[in-house]
Amino acid sequence: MKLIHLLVVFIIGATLALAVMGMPAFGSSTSPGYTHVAPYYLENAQEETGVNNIVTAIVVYYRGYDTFGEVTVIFTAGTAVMALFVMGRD
Amino acid sequence: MKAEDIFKDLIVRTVARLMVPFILLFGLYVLLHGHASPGGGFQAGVIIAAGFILMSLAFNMDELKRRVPLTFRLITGSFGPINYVVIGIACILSGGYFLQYGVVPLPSLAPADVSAVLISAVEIGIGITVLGMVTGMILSMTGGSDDHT
Amino acid sequence: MIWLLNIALLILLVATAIAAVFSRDLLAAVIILSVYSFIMAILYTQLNAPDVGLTEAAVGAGATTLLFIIAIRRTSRREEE
Repeated sequence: MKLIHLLVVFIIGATLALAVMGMPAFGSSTSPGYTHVAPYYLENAQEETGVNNIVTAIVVYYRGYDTFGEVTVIFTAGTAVMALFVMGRD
Repeated sequence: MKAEDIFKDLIVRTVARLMVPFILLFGLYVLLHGHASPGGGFQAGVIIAAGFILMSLAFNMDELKRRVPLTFRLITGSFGPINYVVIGIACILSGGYFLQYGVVPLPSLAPADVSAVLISAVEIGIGITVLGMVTGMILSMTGGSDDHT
Repeated sequence: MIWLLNIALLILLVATAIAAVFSRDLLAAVIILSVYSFIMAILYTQLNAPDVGLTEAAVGAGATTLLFIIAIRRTSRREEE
């Protein structure tokens, strides 16, 4: 049984290692992540949003819906934990 | 020795008394300077909450619980989403899309400056939400005499 | 020379991860996990992502550790065999 687990781990690890070999080089500027919207953000973010930190510009301006969802998630999780611990004590 | 008494230690108290003001100051810096340097609402909320929790661990958990009642925690926790929605709807009413900050007509400010101001407002709301929720969760989880209001 | 520091940090990262998994004392495991988070934060900062590093240091090493410690205090410190 333990041998099967070890085998599964090795197969998955080998697959991941092969996948890593197919990735673009570290810091390569031609990788897909840097060629679609990233140049637009780098060139226009400061004029459009007036914010110097480009991460904040992307998080709150261009991806505002996502951040709104994150805040809602935190609010819901906190409310649930507080309800569980305060009301479940009775 | 009660479980609560572990933290009522001389070293913990002294370190907390020295560290907490700087932790709160650093949290405020991260929150208000998040548009120009690394940081933002989430990190700042967690840092300020960590300062409050360290203070309450070193001194008295019940004291913080009494001063920060449950309703106050819930109000601070819901401030962020409400603030976000209000700013988004203000953008719609000004003729833009939801969360298109530049269109809001604030007096004597260029569109980029308006969006910078509103982004800061949104970040502050996020920070208050995270602060209220993390503090509230940890205060609720530590047990002891809790308020049932 | 910075790659030497990175290699050392990565080795330490794997070591702390394995130690956290194999530790029988849950409080020790939580502290080792917070060390893991700090090493991760340094590595993120090395990779020019200070925002992610700050988040990792604040949330991973601060809030998560605190929640785990409170959970351990409400349950038991030893892992059951």
